[in-house]
Amino acid sequence: MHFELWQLFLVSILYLGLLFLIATATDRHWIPPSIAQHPLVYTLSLGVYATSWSFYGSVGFAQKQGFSFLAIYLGATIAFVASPILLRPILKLTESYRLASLADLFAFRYHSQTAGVLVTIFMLAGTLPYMSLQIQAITNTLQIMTQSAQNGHMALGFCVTIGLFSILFGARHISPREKHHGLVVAIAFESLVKLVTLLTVGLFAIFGIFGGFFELNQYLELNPEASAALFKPVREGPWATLMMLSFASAFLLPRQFHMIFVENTNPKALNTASWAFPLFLLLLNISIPPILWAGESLNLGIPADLYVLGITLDSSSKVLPMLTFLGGLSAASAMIIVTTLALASMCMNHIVLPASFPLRLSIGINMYQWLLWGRRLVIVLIIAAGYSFYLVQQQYNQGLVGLGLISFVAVAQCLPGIVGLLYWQRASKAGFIAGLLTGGFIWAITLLLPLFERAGIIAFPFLNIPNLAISTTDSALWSLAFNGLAFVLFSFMLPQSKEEREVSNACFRKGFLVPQGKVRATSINEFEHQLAKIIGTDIARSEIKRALSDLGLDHKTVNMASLPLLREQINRNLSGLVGPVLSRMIVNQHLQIDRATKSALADTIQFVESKNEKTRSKLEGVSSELDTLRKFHFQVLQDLPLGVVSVSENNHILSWNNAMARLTGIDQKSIVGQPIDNIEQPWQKILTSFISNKNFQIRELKAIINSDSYVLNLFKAVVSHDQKQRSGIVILIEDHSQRYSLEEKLAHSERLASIGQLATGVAHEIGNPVTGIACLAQDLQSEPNNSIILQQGLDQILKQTNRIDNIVRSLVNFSHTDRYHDHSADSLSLRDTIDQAIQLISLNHLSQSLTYDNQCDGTIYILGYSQKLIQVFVNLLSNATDASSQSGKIEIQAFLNGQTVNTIVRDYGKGIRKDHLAKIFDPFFTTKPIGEGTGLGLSLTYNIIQEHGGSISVSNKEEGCQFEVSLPRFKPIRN
Amino acid sequence: MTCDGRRVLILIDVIVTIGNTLSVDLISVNILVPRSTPETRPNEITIIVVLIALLLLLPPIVVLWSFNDSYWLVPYLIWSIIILLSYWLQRHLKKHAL
Repeated sequence: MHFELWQLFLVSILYLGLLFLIATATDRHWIPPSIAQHPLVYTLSLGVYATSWSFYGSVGFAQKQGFSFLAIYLGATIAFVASPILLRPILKLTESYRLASLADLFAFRYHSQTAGVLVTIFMLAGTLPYMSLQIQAITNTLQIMTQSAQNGHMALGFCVTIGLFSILFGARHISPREKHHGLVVAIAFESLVKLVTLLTVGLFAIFGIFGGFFELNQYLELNPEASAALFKPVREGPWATLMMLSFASAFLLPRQFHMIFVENTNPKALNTASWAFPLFLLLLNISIPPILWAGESLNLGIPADLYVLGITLDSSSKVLPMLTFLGGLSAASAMIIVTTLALASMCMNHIVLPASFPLRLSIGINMYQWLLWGRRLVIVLIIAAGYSFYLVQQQYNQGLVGLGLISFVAVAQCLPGIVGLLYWQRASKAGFIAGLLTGGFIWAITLLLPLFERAGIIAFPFLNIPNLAISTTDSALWSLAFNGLAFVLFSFMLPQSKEEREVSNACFRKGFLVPQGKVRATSINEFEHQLAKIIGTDIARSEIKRALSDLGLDHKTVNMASLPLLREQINRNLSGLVGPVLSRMIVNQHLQIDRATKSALADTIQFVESKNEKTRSKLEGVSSELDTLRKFHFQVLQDLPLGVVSVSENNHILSWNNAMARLTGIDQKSIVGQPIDNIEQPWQKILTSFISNKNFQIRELKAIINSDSYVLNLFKAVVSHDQKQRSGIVILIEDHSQRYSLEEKLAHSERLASIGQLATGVAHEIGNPVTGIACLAQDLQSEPNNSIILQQGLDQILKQTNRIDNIVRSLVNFSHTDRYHDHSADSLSLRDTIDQAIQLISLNHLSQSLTYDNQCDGTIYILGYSQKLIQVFVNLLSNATDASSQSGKIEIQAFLNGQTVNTIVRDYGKGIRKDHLAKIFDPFFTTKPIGEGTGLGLSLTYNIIQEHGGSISVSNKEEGCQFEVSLPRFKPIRN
Repeated sequence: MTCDGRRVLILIDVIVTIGNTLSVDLISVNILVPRSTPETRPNEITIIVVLIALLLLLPPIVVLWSFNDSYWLVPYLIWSIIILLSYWLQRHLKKHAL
């Protein structure tokens, strides 16, 4: 049976058209995202691992190496079983840092453009034989199906078609950072076609060729060597080496890396893939032995590589060979499409862009379009290179598996680099590059050059290349052994740089890349302006908009502290566009950081907090413990009943705790990161003046805020990174407003109580002048025409009235609720203050028989509140009066003691019991009978003196006791 | 029971024994590793499963199932066991939210 070429071409075009339709339907959401992004679809898309090698070549491999062909899939199975410790960490890295290829990953981890370039070149060199394998498989298929010997134009036609579809599938979007949902579904569909086809062909082999399972078993019993030939190589062949190669290839091949990591939309899908993908591979390979035996039993006379197609051509149906052809086409096309996309991304980011940077990007061209067309061109060039390799190697038929294994060995050279990336933090750039070059050199001279030499392309007269050729597995072992050795040795000899160490820490989840220094730009517009210089205004605007959207910010909410975050996000987004190295270069050059300014603490804190919030679940071990401790400390600060504000050296708010938010009514989120000048008044004035104040504390700062009275104690301390450099100030604010208010009420009550106690005296003091006035009035009535008496009487009346007025005024002044914020502290004459207190206390009937001797010097002044200090002395004199016997004496003396004035109130009464001395200033402590004293007098006295910054003490003397009050002295300025 | 069947049963017995030994040594007794923590547990379980899979596929265990007269589906059976282990691993990690 044979087919016409045009028929196959038409079917191929229709099939590829169907794939394109599926991709378009997915991109336009005709296929619901719940299906398109289902973990099983993702798993099937990983089936791109199975290429023409698997579809056709496995049978040939099984014929030569028995069940060793399974090692190619069992190694991949191990890689997926190990996904929690192998694939998941890589996925996290690629997601976090928007790494679009293996070269990006290594360039990022080893902080080296050279690493990226080398990996790209190596992947290109390693993949070309693999691409040529696909072309060879398709042309061989076409040859057999059309029974035509001419295959040159078939291969070319296939390459052109696939090139077009690669561009249509994968290079429609602006950048490789976009997810290609359509491509994933189309590749998944291709995997399904491969699976269904191979299972169908396997069933056809069992039931169509042998007649059923029983007959197959009979065939095996009659031909025991058929089964034995499969098992023998497992025991004696390169089983373990093949497994190691496939283990590496399962995630390091460019197409695998692309589908597993770059196209992943849901990390949980990887969990499903860890068992479902091996199951897919198992089902794909379960048909291989029956197909092999069916082909051998039929004596097809074609290479075993083509038995899959050969046995179907032996059937009477045209559908089965066509289905098989489509299965093979699926395998080859999927591999080439995804591989070219992955390689194009690598080539653009690590070869084309670095070679043209920054000149090509700085001439105002549209960078998106430039990148898009660049990628398309690179795709065409890669397919052209693959085709060229096919033309070259077809002179010497290596076999499908042989070419595939050459690629596998090349890819496996990245294995030590991956080990360093995931498990060895000290692995350095030098080690990686040295290992890759060493392993690559051995691979080239033992596998690649002999292949070229055998094809007659190259000849080294001075070197006998065929003698260097060794088996693929030996080459794999030697190259990897020397690669690993060089990797370790050079990593020890040339350790990591500082930048490399930072990235390494980030990879090991011990931290993240924190920008050192302060972002020079001061606004988002400046960012845009700077970025526009390299990528154009429109693109800069678009990238900033994208970064803001990723961070959940907008132009209005961006503040200075958000700029480092924005810079980092732009870096990541550009990394997905132009690779990590170039993106870092663009950001470093145009969104510069002033590294000299180490203490951009506001920026750093917000950056770290934001990052930590996202990565908290990823922290492990000591990091996790430290993070818990950090959270605890942070919460302590947050919940502290004192207002805590920390301010950076450049006067930006670093922290603003809950108490501060309650006190000021200013939300924490809105203020952190803002310059201190942006705070609402009067807080801006309070904080700014306190920061500039030399004093480290201000007590009882009185302020009116929104018509409410506040009394605040402010404290500050300098915070330093080290002892030399200041990095900020922390301010603590105590709100005493409520306590002051209560104390004021208490003091007022106490004053009223004092007035109550004075009531009898007051009545007496007022009653006497009133009686005098009444007598005078009677005299005036009796002698109304005596002008002398009239004049004297009126004078006396006025005098007595003034006396009453003085008493009343004193009482009113004393009882008046004098709010602490009504006026500030005044300079007071101590003598006058004590005289006023004596005047008040003299109203008490007990005081009538006592002598108050005010010996204070009239030149002594103190700073304080008149009413409060009068109350102090009223309380002290009142106690002295109560303690004194009739006709006793109370002395008041004052003397200067440096910056303070010591006032002594001395009585000659009964004194105070020793056991009462310690309690005398306690609230509600009284020695008076119930109903005669509140027990608050001396307590209030103590508080008032404390409030004035003074002190009070009491001591017993031989006769009576003595109170000593120390108050700050006021020195009047003399003109 | 066929010779293949007995061999598979022996093999399963060996796997279970090895698994138990590894579990005891690595997790419970803490001879080789520090005490297991919620952060390290997924890694430890994964390593154990990978080791079991490798033991099944690498010498000397591989000679137990690759005799010339073994039934041709035996390698696929071994493969299925590994897939089941992987499935169990994922279920276990998901169940315990590790």
